[in-house]
Amino acid sequence: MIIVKDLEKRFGDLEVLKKIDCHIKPGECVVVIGPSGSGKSTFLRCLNRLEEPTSGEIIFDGKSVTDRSHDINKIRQKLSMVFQHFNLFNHLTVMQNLTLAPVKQKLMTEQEAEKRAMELLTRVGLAEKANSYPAQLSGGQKQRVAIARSLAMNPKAILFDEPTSALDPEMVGEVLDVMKALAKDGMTMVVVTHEMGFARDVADRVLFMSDGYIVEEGTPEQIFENPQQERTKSFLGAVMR
Amino acid sequence: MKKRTARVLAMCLACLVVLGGMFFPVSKPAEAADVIAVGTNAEFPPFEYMNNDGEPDGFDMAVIKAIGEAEGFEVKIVNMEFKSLVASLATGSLDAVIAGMTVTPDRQQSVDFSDSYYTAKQCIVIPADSDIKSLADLNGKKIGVQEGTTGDLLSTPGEDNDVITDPKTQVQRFKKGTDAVVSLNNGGVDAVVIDKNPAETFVANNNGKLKLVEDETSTEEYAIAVGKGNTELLGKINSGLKKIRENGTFDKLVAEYIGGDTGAKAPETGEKQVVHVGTNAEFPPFEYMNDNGEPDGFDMAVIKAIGEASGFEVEITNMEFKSLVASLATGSLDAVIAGMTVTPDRQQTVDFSDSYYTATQCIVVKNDSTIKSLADLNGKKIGVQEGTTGDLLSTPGEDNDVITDPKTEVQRFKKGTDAVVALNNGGVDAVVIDKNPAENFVANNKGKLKMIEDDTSTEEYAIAVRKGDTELLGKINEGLQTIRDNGTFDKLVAQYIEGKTETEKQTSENPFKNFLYNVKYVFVDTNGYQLMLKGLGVTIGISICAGILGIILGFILALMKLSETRRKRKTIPSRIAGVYIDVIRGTPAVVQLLIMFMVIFRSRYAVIAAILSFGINSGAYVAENIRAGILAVDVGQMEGGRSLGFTYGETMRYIILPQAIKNVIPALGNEMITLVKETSIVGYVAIIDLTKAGDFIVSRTYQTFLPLIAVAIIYYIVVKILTKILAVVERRLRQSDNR
Repeated sequence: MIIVKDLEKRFGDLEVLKKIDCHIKPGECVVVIGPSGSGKSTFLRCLNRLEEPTSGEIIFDGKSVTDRSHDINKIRQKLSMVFQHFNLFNHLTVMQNLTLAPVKQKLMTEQEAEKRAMELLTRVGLAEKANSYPAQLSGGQKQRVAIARSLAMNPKAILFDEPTSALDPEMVGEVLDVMKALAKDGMTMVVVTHEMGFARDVADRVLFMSDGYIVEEGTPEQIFENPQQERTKSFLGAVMR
Repeated sequence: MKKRTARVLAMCLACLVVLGGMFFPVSKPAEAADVIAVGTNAEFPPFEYMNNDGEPDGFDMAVIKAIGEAEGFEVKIVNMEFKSLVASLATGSLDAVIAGMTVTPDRQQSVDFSDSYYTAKQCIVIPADSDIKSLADLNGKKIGVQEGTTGDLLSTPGEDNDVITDPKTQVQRFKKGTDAVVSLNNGGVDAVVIDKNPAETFVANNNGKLKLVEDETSTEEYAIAVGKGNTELLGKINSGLKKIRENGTFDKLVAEYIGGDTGAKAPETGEKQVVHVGTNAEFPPFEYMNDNGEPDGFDMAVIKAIGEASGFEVEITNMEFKSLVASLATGSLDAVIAGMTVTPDRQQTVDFSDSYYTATQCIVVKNDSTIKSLADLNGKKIGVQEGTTGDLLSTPGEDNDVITDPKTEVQRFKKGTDAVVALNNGGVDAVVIDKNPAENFVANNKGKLKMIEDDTSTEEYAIAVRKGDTELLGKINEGLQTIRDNGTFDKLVAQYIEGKTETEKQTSENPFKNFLYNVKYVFVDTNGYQLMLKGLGVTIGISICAGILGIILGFILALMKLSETRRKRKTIPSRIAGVYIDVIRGTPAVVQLLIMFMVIFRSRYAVIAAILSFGINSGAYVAENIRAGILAVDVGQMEGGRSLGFTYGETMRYIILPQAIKNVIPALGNEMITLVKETSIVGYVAIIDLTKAGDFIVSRTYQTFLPLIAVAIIYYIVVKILTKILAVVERRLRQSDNR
């Protein structure tokens, strides 16, 4: 589904990503972990080109994301993203947040979009909030709306950029539950997170990043029970106390 | 030195000839009576030059030959040095001289001149890269001239020359204009001062290397010179000149030799000619704004009557008095009628018609004042209308031998009525103004003011036209004569100047009743409320149009500037927007308005000019407000939109701008409120908005408190309503913020 070859990203002199290669298969849930500043978020944001890669190639669903001749907006329709700070459109109701993109991009009629939106809101347990504004929701509710919004595009894969980091602890659970359900339904997901529990329980594969490299990758068992690299061991030792 | 020697020599020769004439009366041989020896200096194209056959040719040659033909004499051309021409006339070896010769007082002492046959301007020819802009810039420079020409006189430092004063200025006198230009090309001189027509030929022949600067102050008349006292020949020449002018020969020659541009043009269109007439409607009863907000008064009636009599249509433009003469020169006006006095100063820049009115200056003072004459005003505070005769009379200076005390304070008002208001308030001690408005002022301030006539300052009012526009001048004079003859003029005098149609104000002992009468007088009896309503409409109209334009421009500019934020570097649109905002914010709105109206719109379409000017001005401020509003929207909103497959533009439109508007509304509202009040300066371009309407009511009623307070209250109400509307809009937009 997503193939990354020789991906590099530099901010001026600062090398953030160095020769990243990886292959994410359809239906796979890949969790990216690693210390702050290791390049996890940058890696994720390069995948839908919110961050412009310096060099390398990314192929999504058979189309080159990095190739300028492909319309990046068409690719993003099928490669959604969920943000740390939700980025809900504050001037629109929850319902409008979900229907804006499908309707304006002529993917669905207004009726279809609203029907689909109600289904999705029901799925994340927020059907009764359809006509509320984002400012009237709690953090956890906002993130669930954001996930529903990304699903409204009927994407082939979803990128999660630290979806629980901005939440109060008591709200983390409700968001992770939604994500677990998604993974179980076979959605292709790339998740950058600090939730080691989620990584261990839900991930098909875990990538450990440090200093711009993928230091180690494997099944949750391999990474958490039997890490091979010193960097991985010391990181896990610090977070899993 | 050389010049003086030449002058003395010429005078001596002239004396000799006069003496000689006494001893040998009618010394002309009879058989030569039909052959006239005409001298020229064939070095002054296109007036005179050597043609390919080696014979003197050019416009002047053709003119004198045509005159000869018309009057039945033969012309024999003698080519000689320019400075010998006058002397040769005196000795009798020449009968006449035609050599692009300018009429000067000096020359008039030794020769007699015919009627002028051409009006020329002096020009400065300089290398294309030179920064010389006027005659004054030539001080201390090396100047090339043709010996003995007007250019020579203008360039030579001396007692009579108040432009070139630096004694280090070097004047190189060449025999021929072309030699001077060659020297200029070789760097021998910095500039050449010469008549306009040869100058144009020189510049055209040195394409790209030279340019010319016209010296507006030195317009001169070319005429044919004959020996002093030779009235017989002079008469023949003048009558011949008249004939060839009348039968079209002259115009043909101009077209052939000079190329059309003679300053005398005759746009013969089938339709009625429209004459743009400027006035300054602040000088009752000659010109004032009537109840419909249109210029009215004696002058308006006179010029319209003249137009009817002479078959042209009149379009009146109202502007500041001191802009009138300049507008004639730029061509945006064809004529000016504004109680304008004929003065020598003004005669240098405009031509005046026959006088249509004789006025006397008056001093208006308070009843208890001891001032008895103009001389008593020394050291006092004097109020005048800017640029009027009263201003000239009151201002201490070299030419003023009545007001000599330099401590005399002259306050220049835009309007005579303002000066009278200042007099009533004690701001000035006296107002010096023309007699007729003065009489009106005294009559309208019954018992409080009196006037003193100053008999030394009788002046003539005339209609001004562009210098050299003899066609229009002729029509105006003709029309003036017609309406004087048929009695129309006297009727207008009776109606406008002698008739009193002022509304009387009721008074009462009861102060409250008196106040009510006052209100009635100011707003009802004199139709003040109508003027104010109209003004309010204009204010609101201009504000709304300019506001809309400003918001549209502001949006475009903000997006142009934001391209910089998106690309993370300066872009061409962002630079353009940056310069626009910088320039507009760095200059006063009044100046922008004046430039828009006077320079770009050439003093027409004032309302459109005002809307554009305020819109453009407002756009700069709105742009920054909107830009700040957009930047205040969280970057996550853009990322959220883009991640859903929206383009940059779509994200802006659907997600960023709707949120930015909410941030911008308070600042935008502020800007609109400022705009409404800022439009009060449109009076500068003679639009009657609310402020100007209040101003007029003050002029008409001599009441300051009521009209001005009323204007202030109306502005306040307008702004209050605007504020309320904005509050409602803002509340609507803030809906999504509710928790």
